[in-house]
Amino acid sequence: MGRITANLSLSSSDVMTSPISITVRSSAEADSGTIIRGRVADTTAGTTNAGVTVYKASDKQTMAYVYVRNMDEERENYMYLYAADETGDPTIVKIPGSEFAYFPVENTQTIKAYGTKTNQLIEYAVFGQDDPANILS
Amino acid sequence: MATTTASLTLSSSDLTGDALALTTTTNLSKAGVTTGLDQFTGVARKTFATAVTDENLIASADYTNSRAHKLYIKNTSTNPSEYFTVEVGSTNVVLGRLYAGDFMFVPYDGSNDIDIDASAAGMTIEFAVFYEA
Repeated sequence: MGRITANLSLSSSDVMTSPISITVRSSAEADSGTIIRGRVADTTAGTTNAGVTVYKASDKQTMAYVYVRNMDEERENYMYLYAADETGDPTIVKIPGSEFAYFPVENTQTIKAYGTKTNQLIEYAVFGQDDPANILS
Repeated sequence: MATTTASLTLSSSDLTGDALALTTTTNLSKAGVTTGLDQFTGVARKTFATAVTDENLIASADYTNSRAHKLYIKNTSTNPSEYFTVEVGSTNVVLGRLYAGDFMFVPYDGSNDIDIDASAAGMTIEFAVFYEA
């Protein structure tokens, strides 16, 4: 069994009168994962669109750790992550250009992505303990 | 203009044949511009005397809608069986579980409440929001 370690640092010298520095670290068991960079064709959510599947339900046991970066350099070109198995495909995270998100995903959720404009570049990674009973395709 | 930097590193020495080291950094900006976020809630902690369900942690009413706020949440527990479930919006769509020591960092547009479930009594959650008016 392997382990995946995540380190997050949040720092600023001027958002407050005193500098802030928040550093946290977590480590979790993981035996599988992917790191992918690709283009997102869709600009809307919905079952009629293929979308880019960031995480497919039941790919991991219990939960997965997900990292997503919107590679577009324009801040107003957002990457929308939505819960594709929920009614109405609710957006769960909206990532501005050049920014990233790191969060846990319940293994029952399918997380898909669409962009403000077509063919936006996305980078994402998923780690966790593989559920051998399920495959991605 | 304030400058706040977020840096994330994902690493593993034994998950892949070669060591994994992914590092990404960004400056936290207001919506649609490169101007830095200039407001900060500070880091807060909240302890729950009992296990809770659908407890509001972040109220969307406190933040301007359709902005580029950033949200940090951490489960400070050291008991590996204890977790917070993070939920988004009025229908409480489950995002995922933060087990002991786990954290999340996401952009937050201020349009949805963020609720949590605590799996056990006595758990403490740590959170902060960088935001814009």
